[in-house]
Amino acid sequence: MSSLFEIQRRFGDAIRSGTALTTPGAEETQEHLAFAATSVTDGARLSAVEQLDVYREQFWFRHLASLQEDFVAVEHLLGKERFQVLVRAYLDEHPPRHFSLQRLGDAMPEFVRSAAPWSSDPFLVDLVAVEQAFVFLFDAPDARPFDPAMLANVPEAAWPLSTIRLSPAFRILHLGSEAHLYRAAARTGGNAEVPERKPTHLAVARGKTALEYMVLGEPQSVILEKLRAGMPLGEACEHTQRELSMDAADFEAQLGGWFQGWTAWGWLVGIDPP
Amino acid sequence: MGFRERHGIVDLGVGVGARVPHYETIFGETPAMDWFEIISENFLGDGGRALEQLDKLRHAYRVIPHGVSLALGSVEPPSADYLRRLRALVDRIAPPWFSDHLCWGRVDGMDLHDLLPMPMTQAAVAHVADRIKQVQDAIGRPFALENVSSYLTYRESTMPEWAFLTEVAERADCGLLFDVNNAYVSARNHGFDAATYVDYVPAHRVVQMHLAGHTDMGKYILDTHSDHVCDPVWDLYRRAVGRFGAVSTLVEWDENIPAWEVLSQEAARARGLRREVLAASPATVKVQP
Ligand SMILES: [Fe+2]
Repeated sequence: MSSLFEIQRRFGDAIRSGTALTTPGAEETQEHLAFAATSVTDGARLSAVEQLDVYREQFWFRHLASLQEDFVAVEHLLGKERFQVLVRAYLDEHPPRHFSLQRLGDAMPEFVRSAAPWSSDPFLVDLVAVEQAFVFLFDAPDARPFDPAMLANVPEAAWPLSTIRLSPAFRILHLGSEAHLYRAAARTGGNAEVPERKPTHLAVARGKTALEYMVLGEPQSVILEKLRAGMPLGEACEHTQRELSMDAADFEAQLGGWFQGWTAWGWLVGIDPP
Repeated sequence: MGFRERHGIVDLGVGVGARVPHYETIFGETPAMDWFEIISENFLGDGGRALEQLDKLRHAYRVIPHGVSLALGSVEPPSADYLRRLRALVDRIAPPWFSDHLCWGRVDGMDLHDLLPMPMTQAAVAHVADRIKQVQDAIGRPFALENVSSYLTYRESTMPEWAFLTEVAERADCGLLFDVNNAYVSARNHGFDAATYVDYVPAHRVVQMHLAGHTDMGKYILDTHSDHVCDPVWDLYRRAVGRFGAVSTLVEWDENIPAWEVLSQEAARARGLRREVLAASPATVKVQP
């Protein structure tokens, strides 16, 4: 292990400390103080420990600010203090691993789903999922707009065996409430109220000019998930219809309209004949 | 032949950092501005609006990409994915140079998102110079290395910052992005004379300069890019222009971002000051029309 690596490792540990290095007598900072004492020069204005603590503070402020920007509604829900507790716990468990701050909150939905006390608040879990989905969409890959000529090229008989490609900038969230309404209200300074529990299938996508969302009925949400998983169209229809005990004629009557919608909204970007 | 001459690097004049709050003005009115710098990392995603906006910007102005994540001083190398994305961005823009900082920021698979200071040792010189050569090869364009603001010094360091920066640049044979404000901030924080810094670095390698404002925290100065350039930094800039000649200059403003007019005025001030210094020193290269 080179000495440069050793310095960087110990420096990195010190600046991720949740406790200020200047806190007198804090047990958890002893190792960092030892690093400062052996590696950092005392300055005329700042002691070795104070110098290191400048970087610790910056680490915290920068990552807190980034997550505040990503999770405006979550902060609104929890309040400033509890939000900071959440961020500290999250950063301890998921230190930044990507060069882009845009990706800092990637693991937040998983974190609140599994870590106490957050996991026991189902609305918080929903809201985090919604806000994170919007961050993900911001710079998700572009897809070439759907070319209607592609449809004409698929012979009638090949449709049931064809698979459908969905936009990479499109997701469906399965929520226990209409958390997106709270998000919108919190972000626009409106009256944000925690909505009642109600199963909600929310499609979120990057549209031509903005990030968009739409509440889907269950059949659309089920069939879209099957298509995303690569199930051929015919099979996906059959399974969806059976699972939801829908009338076959009824189902087929709606399918054309759904298809048009998916294409118009840019969710559907390609069709691959067998 | 000097670095600038060897790579045909010319003076672009005085530009500003392209920031989202100004996009409406920039795209709506195409105001006069010599050039723009972008933060590379904001344009390394797979898609979305950022890249569309970049294309609009580069069709109207000269754009130079400036990165914050190479972490050249980190023992851990940048990921292949990062380098591939950076290469794609640089190829898209085809700039005369690209830049990043003399610092570290990555360790144990973590990206600490900061420009962390290096111990200034011969071993560190060798490490960073090798890393720069690899990066220049991977990206395929001249690289400019920027000095950072720092708040900490190491016991291990064996040379002053200006010698460290210079040795790295000589060994890597790269360009320099001399940040006048960073030199001032570090000088104030560590008690050295920033003029010595300006007088020492190899002038022929300086392809760009940065100007920015900072925040006085009492016991130290923090490089926040949140304010006007302060008077001592303007004085130092004067000295730098006198030494380096007509070098592309960029005003950075990242926090408390002011109205476009204010930022544009700051660039105009640099432009005027530069003209003054160059007119008075016939030995230096003249500003390109
Ligand atoms: Fe800078």
